[in-house]
Amino acid sequence: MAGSSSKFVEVSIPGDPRWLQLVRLVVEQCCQEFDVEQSVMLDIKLAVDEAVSNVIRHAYGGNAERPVHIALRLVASGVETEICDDGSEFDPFAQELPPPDELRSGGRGIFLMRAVMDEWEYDRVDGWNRVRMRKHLASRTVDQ
Amino acid sequence: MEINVLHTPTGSSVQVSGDVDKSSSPRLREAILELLTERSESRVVVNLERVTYIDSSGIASLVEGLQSARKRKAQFGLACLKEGPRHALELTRLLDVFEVYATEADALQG
Repeated sequence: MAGSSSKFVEVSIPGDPRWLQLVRLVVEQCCQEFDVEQSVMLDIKLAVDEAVSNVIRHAYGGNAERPVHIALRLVASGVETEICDDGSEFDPFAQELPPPDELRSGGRGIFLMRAVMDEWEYDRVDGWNRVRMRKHLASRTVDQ
Repeated sequence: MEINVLHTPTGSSVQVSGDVDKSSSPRLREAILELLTERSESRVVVNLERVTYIDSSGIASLVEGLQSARKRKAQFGLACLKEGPRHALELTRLLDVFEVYATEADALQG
């Protein structure tokens, strides 16, 4: 891959948590290609992993046969991620967040996604859930 | 993810290595709760030194361990936090909720 300049990567996996490790590896490789620093890569990896986990759990309800599509793009302001599925309608950003420090065991995935990313949006298009999140990169400017 | 459980006279340590995610975290939860509920350990430590990644389901397993320990008046601590797990606990504002130790030996002594 040396010398290449891929600015767009897309991968599809079955809706099964056993494939999450592959998703994280793809994010790591992508961020390396995009010349993203390590701490920013860790944030993007966490956000994408949590978003895909949400699809598996909520949109597909454990149906491992359904696909999850993940895309990463280098855009003007930074890195844009997109996660799509054709499961039940589920807007992660409309869910109630746990109050800080509350000792309940679950419900922190969406909180983490919002904590590490700079922008996020959800829409439902032709039966597909689409979650887009962006992480700004200080090294990039809008005119790139 | 791999788990090894070390038993000592002062308590037991769940030594975790690899990625803790939605796929593997149920095994971490099971290992922690087994020590607290079935073996009635008075002190349980989770050694995260070799954990390369932890997601919200892994954090949930740690929170369940803490809740279970409190219910049984047992001690529950985390040892050897590296950058990734520490960052995830900071983001979820849970770092101060746990007893955190620099080494496993310190954690087992309390």
